[in-house]
Amino acid sequence: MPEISNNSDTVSETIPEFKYIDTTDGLKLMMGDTALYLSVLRTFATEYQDRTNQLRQLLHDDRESAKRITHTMKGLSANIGAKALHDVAATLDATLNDSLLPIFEIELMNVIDEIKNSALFDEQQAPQQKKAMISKEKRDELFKDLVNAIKKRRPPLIQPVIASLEFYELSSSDTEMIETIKPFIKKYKFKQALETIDEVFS
Amino acid sequence: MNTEEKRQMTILVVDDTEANIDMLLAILKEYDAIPATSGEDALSLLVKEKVDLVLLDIIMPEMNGFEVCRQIKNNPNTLEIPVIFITAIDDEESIEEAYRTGGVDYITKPFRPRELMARVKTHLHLQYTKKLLKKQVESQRELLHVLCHDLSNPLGAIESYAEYYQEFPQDRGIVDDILSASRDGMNIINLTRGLMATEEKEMNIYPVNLKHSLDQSLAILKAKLDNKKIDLKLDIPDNVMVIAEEVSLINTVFNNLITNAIKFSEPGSYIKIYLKKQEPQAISIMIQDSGIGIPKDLLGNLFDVSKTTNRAGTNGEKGTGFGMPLVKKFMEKYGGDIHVYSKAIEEFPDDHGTKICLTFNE
Repeated sequence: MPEISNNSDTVSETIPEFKYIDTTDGLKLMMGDTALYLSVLRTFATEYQDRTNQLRQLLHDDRESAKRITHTMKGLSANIGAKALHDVAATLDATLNDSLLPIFEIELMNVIDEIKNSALFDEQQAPQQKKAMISKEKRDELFKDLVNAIKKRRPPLIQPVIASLEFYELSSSDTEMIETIKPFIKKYKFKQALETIDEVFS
Repeated sequence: MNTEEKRQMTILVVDDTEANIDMLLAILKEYDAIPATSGEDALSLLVKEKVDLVLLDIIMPEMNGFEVCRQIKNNPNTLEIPVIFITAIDDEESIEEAYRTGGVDYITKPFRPRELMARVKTHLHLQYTKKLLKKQVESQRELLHVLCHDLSNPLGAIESYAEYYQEFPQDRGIVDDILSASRDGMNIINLTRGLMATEEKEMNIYPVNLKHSLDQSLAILKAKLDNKKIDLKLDIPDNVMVIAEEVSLINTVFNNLITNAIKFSEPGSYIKIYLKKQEPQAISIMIQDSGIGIPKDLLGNLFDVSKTTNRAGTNGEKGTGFGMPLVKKFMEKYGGDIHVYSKAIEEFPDDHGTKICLTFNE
């Protein structure tokens, strides 16, 4: 079994002190990969904000979909080290009993608020650098690379092309396109990303 | 599996939860991992990509993991791909269903990276071994097939000569033909043995004097050269050493290549053996004839045991067709290589012939 290396090149960030999240446990489950851990925490806080209301609705209308959400919550909460949330999510998943929702909501908000109020959501604004000029040929070439990389569906191939594009001063429509496709790529929705590029080019 | 082999192993990761894919891709970063966020997405991807393993979430909207697995197992193109399910730890029923639909294993959420990696590694390794065995069985079958085909020629000849001899026992000259056909048969058997030995045994390689080995091989072939009045120009310095194994180098590599050069040369022509300009740490020699050359359609299959070609020489000389595959196997065992360049007489009536380049380690 190979030794797992910490992603030392990306450890410029530190893990904040949390009350509702056992970060020692969570980090261990992420193989000590701080960057990955923080990224999962951010995704969690952004994606699961409104889940209680959705869950309340679904427990009423569509218990199958409700079960899917509780199941995901159960796994994710354990993976990030949110123990109290995991306990109630597991019970909720097993029983689908909506009387558990208030306590679930409290535990979920505790975790999400804690992440959102931490330094993890402060920085976002990266220092603005003067960007390099780009020729039309280079721009076309990079977009062709981008399409090819997305078609291959491997994130390690796509990220460097986006980074190269962002290194240059692009037209506002190009910048807008990249900003539109980035969330798709982050969510592994490659088809939507390609469709967006297709629409703009055609 | 080493790092490079791991990077070539493609794992399809199917999960509708972004954060789960984030974690799985991070855990599997040594492999070529492709994410898919739905069952439909995964199935359409499996049509295009060669995938070695699927990690499949059970609970997904629209098409759940069991259904995806059933479709994978119902398609002859994908049915061999192992599927590992991703499931909650306490869900006994799901685990049973996972095996029933054709899953080989399951991993539980929350992910425990080391366990996950160990399971992935185990199943990839099984798959790798399975493919390797299949390939070996396939190549043994081919060898057997070719062997039966090639042995039927001399045995058929022996049979008809012997029948003839029963009828005309006074014609003792036929015994020579029987002997010659038997030798052809034995030759095929010996070469096959050689071929199998190269696959099974580790070979002991060491520095060998190149000129000395060529001299020995040429001594064996002297009769054939004289017979066709072929002028052999050997231009190799005395002190050149190459990494090889001497017995096979003399009796298989040089013997086959020079026999071929003689076989496909017109009587009275020449064969040149000389040292090529060197790259560092490697020594290349050329064996060049001005014979009838190798047609393009044969050139590509020269080293393929399953497509052995058995062409008669310019004086009707026979061969087994195993020679070239065997030469290549030995050259690879030495850590060297072989390249063949040829111009066939049909295409180049004025400038034809074959050049063989052998590259050895110094």
